[in-house]
Amino acid sequence: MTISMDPGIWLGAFMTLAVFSYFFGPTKNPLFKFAESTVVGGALGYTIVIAGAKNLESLAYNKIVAGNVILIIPVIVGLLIYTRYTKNYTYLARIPIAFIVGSGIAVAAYGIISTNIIANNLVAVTGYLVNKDLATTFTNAWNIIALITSIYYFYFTGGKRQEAPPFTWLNKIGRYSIMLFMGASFGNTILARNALIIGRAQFLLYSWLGFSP
Amino acid sequence: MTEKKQPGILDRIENIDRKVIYFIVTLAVILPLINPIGLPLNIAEESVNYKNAIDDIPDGSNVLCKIDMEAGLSGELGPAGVATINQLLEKPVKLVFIFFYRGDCPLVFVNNILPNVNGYIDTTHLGNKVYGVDWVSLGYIEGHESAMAKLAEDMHFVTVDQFGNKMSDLPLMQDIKTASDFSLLIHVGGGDNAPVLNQFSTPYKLKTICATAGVDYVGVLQYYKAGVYSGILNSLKGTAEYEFLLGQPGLAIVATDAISVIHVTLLVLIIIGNAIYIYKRMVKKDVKGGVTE
Repeated sequence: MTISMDPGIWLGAFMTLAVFSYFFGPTKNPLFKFAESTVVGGALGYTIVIAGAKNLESLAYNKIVAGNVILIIPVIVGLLIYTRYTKNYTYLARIPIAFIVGSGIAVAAYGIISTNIIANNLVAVTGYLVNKDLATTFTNAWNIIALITSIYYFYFTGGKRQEAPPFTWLNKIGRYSIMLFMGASFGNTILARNALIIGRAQFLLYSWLGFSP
Repeated sequence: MTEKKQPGILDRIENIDRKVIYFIVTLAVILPLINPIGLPLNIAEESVNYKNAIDDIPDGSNVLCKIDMEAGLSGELGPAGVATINQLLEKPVKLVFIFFYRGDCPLVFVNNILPNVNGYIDTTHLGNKVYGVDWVSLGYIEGHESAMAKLAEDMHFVTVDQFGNKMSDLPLMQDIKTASDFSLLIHVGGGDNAPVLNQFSTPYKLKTICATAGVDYVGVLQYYKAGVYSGILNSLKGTAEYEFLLGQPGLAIVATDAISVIHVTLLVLIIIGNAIYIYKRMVKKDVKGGVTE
């Protein structure tokens, strides 16, 4: 066991322990607040440089200099977002936001239909019902029932008909299916959080304190 | 003067200080990491398929790698990124790395992932692969799903790579025009699953595998069942299985004991909490029943 002499590792260990002070000390202790502010500030500063400067150079400046002058228009439209900070021209900020939302929806729409609806749901309904393994066949059948009833749970246009059997049963099965999904997601979230702690513990034990794995 | 009723053992357990729970969890993490127990590992089918998908890449192909995780996720998915690159380095394939998730992802890639890869010398040499000829990193590209759509259509949409080299100076990029020029897309990251599938995999019929964070696993599993993903790694657990399959034990295998112990600990705590809650509810019901009778 040899403790690291690398100042970067020591800084990382200090920041990790400062964050972990949340567990054993008061929740709003100065060490935790220092680490929190440093991470947020550092991340923001780095993102502004990388996302802003590097991408402006790569995606706009270099192309404009190379003769693609029309790209000045999206740059100007993008800059309009800062009119939010003026009193009289705030409304101009809506233009880039409208572009971002509109183009984002348009780009995503094709993929959502082809991936989520066609590739995913239709395959779930048609392709995988019967399997040589009985347990898998049961799971697949249950998946189809869960898919249909979950969609039905979000079907709000049925009016009073939805309040009478058998629709109430469909609603109930749909609700339970969604709860099962959320329960499984929650379980995996706990798994993920443990993995994060394990990652930091490995850093402290192996990289900082010099224990061997 | 009425005597204050002392809380019973059940009340004390129910209202236990959170610091005690944190202390138990800390021990459950640290002890197995210092003294591994060697608990058995069940290999999931999707982990085997993840490895097989990389094994099946034809020689000389191009592979698109989105090893896209921020610093906070590198503990969970970093080992998956390292093991994936290690397997890729053993094959005669060319690698293009892209980042869309957060601005700091390329920094994590260079500082946390690459130095742990077998045969890493510096960013110019990754094992026997030379930068610009055998592998390239395009760096972080702002714009998320819209940028993914554009890059898939035109890989020269960005003019410089992560290290500031012009695209025209990178021999590898001269042969790569669109997403169709790749044989496999590998996504190691904690988000962006649907956008990646929507913009790369489905439109270009690109075989795709992913190593995902535990939070996203249930959502990703549906794509695997539907055949959209060819293989997946579930968080650190899936990575441990993958490392075992590769025969290259890494940080994930070391962590499996800690994962198992911490899960058992949490399960015991959940069972105790629920048992006390149910018992107290039953007792309360009995008392109420007695009054009405």
